[in-house]
Amino acid sequence: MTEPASSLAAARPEAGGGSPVDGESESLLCRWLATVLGAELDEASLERYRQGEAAPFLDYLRDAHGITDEVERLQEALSRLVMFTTPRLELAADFTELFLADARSGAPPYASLHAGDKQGFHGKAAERMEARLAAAGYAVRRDVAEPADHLAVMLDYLATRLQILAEAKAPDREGWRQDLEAFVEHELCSWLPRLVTRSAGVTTASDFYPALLALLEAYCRRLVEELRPA
Amino acid sequence: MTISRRSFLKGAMAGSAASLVGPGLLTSTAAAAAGVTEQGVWKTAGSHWGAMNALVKGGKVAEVKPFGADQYPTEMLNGIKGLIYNPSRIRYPMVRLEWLKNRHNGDRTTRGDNRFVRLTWDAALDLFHEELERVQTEYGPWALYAGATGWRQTGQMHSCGNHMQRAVAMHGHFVKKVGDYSTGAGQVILPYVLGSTEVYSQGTSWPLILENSKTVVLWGNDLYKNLQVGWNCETHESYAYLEQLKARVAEGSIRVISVDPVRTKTQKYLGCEQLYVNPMTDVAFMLGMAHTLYNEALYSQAFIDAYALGFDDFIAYVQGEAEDGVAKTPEWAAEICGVSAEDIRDFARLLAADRTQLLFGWAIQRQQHGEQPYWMGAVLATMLGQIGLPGGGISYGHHYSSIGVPSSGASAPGAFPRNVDAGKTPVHNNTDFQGAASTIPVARWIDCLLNPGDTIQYNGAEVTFPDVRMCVFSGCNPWHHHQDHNRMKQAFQRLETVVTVDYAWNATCRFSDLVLPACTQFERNDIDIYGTYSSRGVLAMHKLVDPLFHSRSDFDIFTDLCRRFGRDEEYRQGLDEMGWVKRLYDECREANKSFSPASGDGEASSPMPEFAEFWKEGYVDFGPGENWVRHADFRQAPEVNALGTPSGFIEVSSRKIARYGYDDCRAYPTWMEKAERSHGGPNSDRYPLWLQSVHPDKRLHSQMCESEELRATYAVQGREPIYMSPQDASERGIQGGDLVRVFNDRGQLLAGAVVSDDFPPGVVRIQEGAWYGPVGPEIGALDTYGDPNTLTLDVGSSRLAQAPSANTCIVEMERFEGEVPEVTAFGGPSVVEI
Repeated sequence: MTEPASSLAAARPEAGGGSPVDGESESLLCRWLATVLGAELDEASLERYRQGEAAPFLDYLRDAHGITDEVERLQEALSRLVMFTTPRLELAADFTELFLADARSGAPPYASLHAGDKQGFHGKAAERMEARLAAAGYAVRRDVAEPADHLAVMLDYLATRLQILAEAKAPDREGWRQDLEAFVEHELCSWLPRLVTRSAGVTTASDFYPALLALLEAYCRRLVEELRPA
Repeated sequence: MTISRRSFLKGAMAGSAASLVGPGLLTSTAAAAAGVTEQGVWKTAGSHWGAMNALVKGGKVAEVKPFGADQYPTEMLNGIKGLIYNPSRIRYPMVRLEWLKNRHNGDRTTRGDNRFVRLTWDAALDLFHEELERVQTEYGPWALYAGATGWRQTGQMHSCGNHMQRAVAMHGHFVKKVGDYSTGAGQVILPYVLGSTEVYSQGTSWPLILENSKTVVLWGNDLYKNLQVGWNCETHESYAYLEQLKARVAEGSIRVISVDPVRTKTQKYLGCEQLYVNPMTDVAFMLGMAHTLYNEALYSQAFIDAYALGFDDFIAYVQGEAEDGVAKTPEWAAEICGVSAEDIRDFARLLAADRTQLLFGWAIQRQQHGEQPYWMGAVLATMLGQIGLPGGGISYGHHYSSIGVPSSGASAPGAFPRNVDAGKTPVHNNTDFQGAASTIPVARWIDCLLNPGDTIQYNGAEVTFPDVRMCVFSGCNPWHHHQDHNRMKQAFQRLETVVTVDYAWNATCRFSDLVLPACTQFERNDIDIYGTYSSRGVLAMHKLVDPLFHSRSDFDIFTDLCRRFGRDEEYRQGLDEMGWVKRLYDECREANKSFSPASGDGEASSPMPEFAEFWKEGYVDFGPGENWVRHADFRQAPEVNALGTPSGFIEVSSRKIARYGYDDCRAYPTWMEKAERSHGGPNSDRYPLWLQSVHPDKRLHSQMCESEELRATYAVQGREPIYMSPQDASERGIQGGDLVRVFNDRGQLLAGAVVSDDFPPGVVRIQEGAWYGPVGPEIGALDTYGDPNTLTLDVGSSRLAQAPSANTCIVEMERFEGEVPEVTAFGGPSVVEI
């Protein structure tokens, strides 16, 4: 482990053992969330969802994190996709409406656009994320062509941190835990509620993505709680 | 049953759930050393709002400063960062859902109010190509309109209209346009009168005006406002001369009179006089002046004898000896124009008393019969006899770019070609327009969409409208600049396919089927002139940041389109972006190899270094220019330096126009009542307010309306301002800051009230370029932000020019009551229930 240096210096290994978080599982969960929020579903993926293959993720969120209402809402949204003759296109249009079209009219998945009055891409939140990524030896893939404060990028970053937490040994583990707690609380939970509110104001054909955002918000709140020492 | 954390992982990885996890979005890099702070690098760039230096730090534009040579920068540079990082940026190629499902057979009524879906570039360009192919094969060149071009972003290499038209032309022929929205009437009438369009011509140098003029007349001309933006990378050289003019006014050596219903920004800056005239009645006012000049023998018969034709026919009309039998006395004019007969006489006498420079703006020709005030202005200047003298005569362009700034004489860089290369033909070389016109007057294209097959008169010819099925736009926002948006809605429902290339979600994108994201001018390398008319220098437009999101340069977009029909190599002539920039520079350098700056020692040596040095330095300055007098050569030797008119002389009356037989543009300038007019004119009992839609103070047309930082400096309750007189506000119970519904039979909009003594009763202003955002798709829906073209009249100026008549527009207004709708103008595609 080479960073974050400042939090490492203050690491309290004895506290790390108090967190119930299983970094490896959470990391996988975050990678799934980053995937589903990073791009539209293709036909094959959609079919897998309709076949219930996302169940392990949803079961885990419900059983391991106690998130029930939001999980049920997402399951309901999935079950209702049968109403559409072209569900992939409708979901893609929802995805566009929420995340891709003019950022003022949807629920743009960028932290910078929810940070305050002066809204614009590549704001302070993006700069903080860029610094985090650079310090960790990462950058956003060039072909992705998104700022570092895109929600999916942040979730992908979170997945890498959770994996490191899983592999960390005392005394480093507490430092990683603290850093993770701060990241989820200050960089994600700080704007996810606004994103969820914005998504609720957008008319979509399916509730899939609004439900997913609500689930994500609930998950992040739970994760912060669980990252805190018992 | 509950799931344990470990069993989740085990189950997920073993089962198919793992396949729902995609590849990560991150890539490994060398970890950045802690504590390293990037200082950033300053680069040179430019825009219509000004040339600039930009600090790029961490891959972002951190700061923008005016270019060193720009001594009069505008505050619009503060909007540059807001433009680059704007939430309205188009980030990905998009397709309208209904169109994707059913293509041209789909429901067109949802266009403008439909959902979109993201596409890959390959998929988007395939669709673009397939549609071009379908339209060319199923129909023909008459079904494709790719003629509309506009104020692009600056830069000679990436000029977007050139890229779009060259690429589309390599595939097949298409319907084009003639004219533009700025000077449509002026550029058609003036070649008949003065031999050239005049509106885009270099004018008499400002130093000569300052030195020789005793009176300067600004006719509908707010040049202090309009000179803030320029066609190329602006450096605002004209402002130094306006500063001197202000001093001359203060010391009393030059009298400046602004003929305008409104107290303008220029008037306030110069501290000059205002001569109020009723809106759209300038021709009557000028005819009254002509009557005075003639009957008091204040005109120059000698000049007319030597340089003009057709005066007798015209003066017979003035004297009441023509068909109408009405003498155009100052008393007659006063009834129409609102200026007293004595003031008309005094003004005519003043202009004839000494050297007078007439400087006309463009607004008064953007009205019904807009040819007439320009023609009449030229006739007045002819009667004064000072055309071709320093500080005398008439100009139609001193408010535009750097017209009037002495020109260095250096050649400017060329541009990426707009046309197919010589000797080459398109993939579909079908030139059969089936009897329809291949070129239409630009402002009549909505008529064309609505009435295919109809024939109109235009400039001495007949134009039969083609049955257009597909439109392509690039860097052009017709949903800002065309009149009567509710009529446009109907026209767009007839189109099968609309493709738009742009960088922000404006209304044109929302009314399109395929939307392709171009990057801004700050995301690619280019080259441009600074000092459009002064040829002051060449600017390197460095790419400041990589194209944001999935946007691409026009060059890349259209190269890839051409690849689909095997013409990409021909399109780019084997060069990449920097290859083109260097070629344009090297060709400019070659053209200037014998150029010597006016302030130099006269030795013929180009000041242009090798490209690499220029690119590093960021600019080449050609030095100041030399003074010049418009039409001096004609005055000196009219036979040798004949004008481009049919006779070679100034045509006070035009036999050629007379032969056309138009009743709305006759043999000589005439006063004609408008279809609607305030101040006692037709329909003013129902709609008593004249709505003027002038060029905006803090935008370039619609460009930068999306910049929130800048918009916050002028918007009222988030709406475009409507300026009005205290009397008009008071009579309607409106106070400054109120929301106002402005309406007429054509539409309605919301605007924010600004009450100002600058405006006389009966005159309101909403600046053009405000983005259109209706509350819904229905015809007549309330525009939520305040685009004046929701209300303006869509008729041709006359059969001669068929130019836009935006300033012929009357309205009523009321304080807005009820639930206030959100502004939708800056949103993306809106949503309908499915």
